[in-house]
Amino acid sequence: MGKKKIGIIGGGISGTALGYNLSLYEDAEVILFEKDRIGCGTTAKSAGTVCLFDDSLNNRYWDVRLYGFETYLKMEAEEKGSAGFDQTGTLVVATSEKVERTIKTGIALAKSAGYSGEYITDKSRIQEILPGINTDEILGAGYTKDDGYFDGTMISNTFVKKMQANGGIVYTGTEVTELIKNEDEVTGLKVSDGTVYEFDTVVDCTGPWSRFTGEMAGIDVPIWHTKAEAFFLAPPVKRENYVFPVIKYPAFYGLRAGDHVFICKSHLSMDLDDPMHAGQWNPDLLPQTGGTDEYFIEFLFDQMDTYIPELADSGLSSSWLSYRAETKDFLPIIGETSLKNYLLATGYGGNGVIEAPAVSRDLAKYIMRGESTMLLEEWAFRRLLENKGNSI
Amino acid sequence: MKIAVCIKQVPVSGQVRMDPVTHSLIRNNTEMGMNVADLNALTEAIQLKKQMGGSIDVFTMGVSDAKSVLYTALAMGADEGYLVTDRHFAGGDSLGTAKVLVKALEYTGKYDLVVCGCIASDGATGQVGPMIAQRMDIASVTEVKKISNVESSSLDVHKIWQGKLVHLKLRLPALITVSLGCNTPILPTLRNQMKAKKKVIHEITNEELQIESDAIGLSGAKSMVTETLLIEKTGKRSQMLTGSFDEIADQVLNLIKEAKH
Repeated sequence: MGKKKIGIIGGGISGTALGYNLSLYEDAEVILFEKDRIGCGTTAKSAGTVCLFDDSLNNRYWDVRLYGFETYLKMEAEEKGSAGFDQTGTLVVATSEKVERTIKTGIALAKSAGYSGEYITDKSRIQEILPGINTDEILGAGYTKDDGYFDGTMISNTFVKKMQANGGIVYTGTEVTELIKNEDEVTGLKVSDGTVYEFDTVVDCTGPWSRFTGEMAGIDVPIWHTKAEAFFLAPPVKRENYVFPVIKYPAFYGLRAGDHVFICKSHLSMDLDDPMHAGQWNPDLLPQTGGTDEYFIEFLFDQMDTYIPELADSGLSSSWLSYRAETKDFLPIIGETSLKNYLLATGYGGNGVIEAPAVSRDLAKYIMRGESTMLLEEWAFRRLLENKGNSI
Repeated sequence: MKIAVCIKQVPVSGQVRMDPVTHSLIRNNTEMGMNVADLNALTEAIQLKKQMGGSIDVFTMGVSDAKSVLYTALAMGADEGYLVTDRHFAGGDSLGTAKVLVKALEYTGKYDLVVCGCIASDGATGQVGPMIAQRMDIASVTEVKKISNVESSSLDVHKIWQGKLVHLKLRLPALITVSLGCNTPILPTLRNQMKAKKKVIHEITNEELQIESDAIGLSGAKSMVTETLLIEKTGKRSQMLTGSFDEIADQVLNLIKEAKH
């Protein structure tokens, strides 16, 4: 029996994680196409946090988060630096009772999986973990020393290396320009140098580019872009032997980046119809650096001044803007489309680093063995069409 | 000491492309910021002000968007920002820019010292500063690395001349262009940026300056760019280095050694 040929479009965390998981199947022949370099798009601008307990991913999907975290820990254990892990610990700050409940549930889940976690109400202890914090406005904070942040670009390159070791093929600097169709099924694709490849299955892993990729397939991929605006701050105080933890507030998060602090804010509004915060833009037009909005900086300053006043006196050394691919329910679109043999693994909305390992594990199994999972059923494309009275 | 600093808004990322027809920079989707040598110039001016007291007025010629570098200058420690803007100024060469800036400087008052960056990272002529001095009939020294012995009527400047460090005493009023990288530019804090945004940027147009329109802008330009050449890239040759810091350092060392052979 011949091998199953799978083409992957996109070399970010989504495409490379899927490529690696598919390459574990001996009867899979995988080719990944990346129009630029591996992990250089949205993945490169990701903070790479996989916090054991915050609200970025509902606790309902705890197993997805844990699988992602442990996949990267294993990667790092196999080869130091291959996941870019910086174990700084995480402080998740409770500014309301609702957030407090989420943190406490997360801590219980983390502890049940063998990781440390504590909910701290002693404000002097919180100030030891994050000097300069204003504890007047908070109820408490969840803390673990076990997690930190990873490097999405490094992980993507490691997935590629592992995929290639298993026989997978990766073409960088190769843009997919056309999907080859036979009536209602995809049979292959054409790339920028004119080469045509035949495939049994093609998977779109292009994240914020998915609308454009979808247009080639004739599919309306319901992705909106939201802005993630990141700022590199040079704090006014340098503390010897102090490790700045990943910090999570409802409206922003931060982590250390060398001597600097990386602060990111997205979802100033969760309203995808609000043109100030969400839209359908062209990620190719994003500048490499800069491009942030003045109102975001003002918002950031207010947040810093309220919660961590010391950081408001930081120098602003650089900034960048990235687009996140969001769906209406802020969950990704994984699996089949109306076009036979054309699948999606997109719409991670800033959670790609957390979610891609579990999703790719399940999607690879579905592609190779036809077996679905609860996760794939819940994140299937059809959920977004049901309200419209359509089906795929 | 009353100091004027002339700054320029330039593309600050490596993502800059050239228009093959007009030979000008395509500035869309490129992060814009203050020219790096101008950051050094302003930092030097702020240090002078700390020493001597006085005030710093900052000037930039450009479209409305260029206000952003004036706000940065205010956040760094300048006192007033002036945007010199008019459609008649557009398309000018170095001389046209100098003529306009001189008029603007004369319009706002007399300065003891005019400070410019030594070169702009986009046009890279290094001419505007000395041209301003020439037209104002004041002494000038280019590519100053250090300032010392500051007095109310003079200051010493240090520069490299024919491979040697020379000290020059400069009688004020004068103009200096500050060498790229001669100091660590002041990094404005978030708090100071917020304060700066509340300040008013003054706009100066040709209505105030009354310069003959055929002496400035595109029509007054004495030089024109006839050709731009793109340096061919040598190709992407990248590889991911992994391992401990020491292992990565060894790999980098080996790569450097290999590249030498």
